[in-house]
Amino acid sequence: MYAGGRKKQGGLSSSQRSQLRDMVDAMEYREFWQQRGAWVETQDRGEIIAGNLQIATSVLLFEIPSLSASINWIKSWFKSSVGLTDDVAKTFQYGRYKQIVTDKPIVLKRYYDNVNSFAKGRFMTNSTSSFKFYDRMGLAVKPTWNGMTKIATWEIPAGTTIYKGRAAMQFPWLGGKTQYFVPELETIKRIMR
Amino acid sequence: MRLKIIDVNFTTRYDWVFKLADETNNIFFIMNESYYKKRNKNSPISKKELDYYDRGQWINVFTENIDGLGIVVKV
Repeated sequence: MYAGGRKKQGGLSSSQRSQLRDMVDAMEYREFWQQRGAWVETQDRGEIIAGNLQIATSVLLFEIPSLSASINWIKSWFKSSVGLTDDVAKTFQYGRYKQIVTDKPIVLKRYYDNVNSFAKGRFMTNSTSSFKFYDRMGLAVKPTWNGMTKIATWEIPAGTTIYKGRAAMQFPWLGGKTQYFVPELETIKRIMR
Repeated sequence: MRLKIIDVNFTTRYDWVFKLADETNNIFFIMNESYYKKRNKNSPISKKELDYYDRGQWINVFTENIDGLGIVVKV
């Protein structure tokens, strides 16, 4: 039996079998890089697109829920995306972080003291508690870096590339709390509360 | 010496993290950690400097000429 000019085997056309094989390969590929903390996901017009940023020129690797997104768009996205330098990556627990392009403005906070650290800076968090010691421990902020006497609130505009993960230990401060790294400071806007 | 930060890079695209210039526009670099490790040196920057160093700031540094480049070795 022929379907679309191609012989069918096991109830699937060769193109269907090829598509199925690609999907299985893609799932294994995703799992492989997820385990190594190098898997990222983003969205394009509502479709989730994901991949391994360590292979900057890779073609489409995995896409949910369909395989219909533009391969050229994904290629350009991967080409424009590279990993964080070691100096920044190591501030995230196990060097694991997720790159995010904000699709709407988000609000982040940061501690400062106006002596060693200032209201405007790249390391932020999405929540602060009323227990400063707990936050110092979770965000792994050494007292010599930051007296943590004040809190600044910032709005990160839509379309900004930021990095999210858990703070790495800065001995003896354990880390583990959600930390954001905002590379570009020129576009962020302070919110007075 | 006193240098002005003229560019920043937090990706693996370049080996440098901060690009600096003196008053006569000589260029200097603060490189990534692996650059210093390869040369048995400590990186002059920590999370604190990554946090707030930005374009336009002037900072006091010590530099060395390494492989023909002006490299910051202490801030």
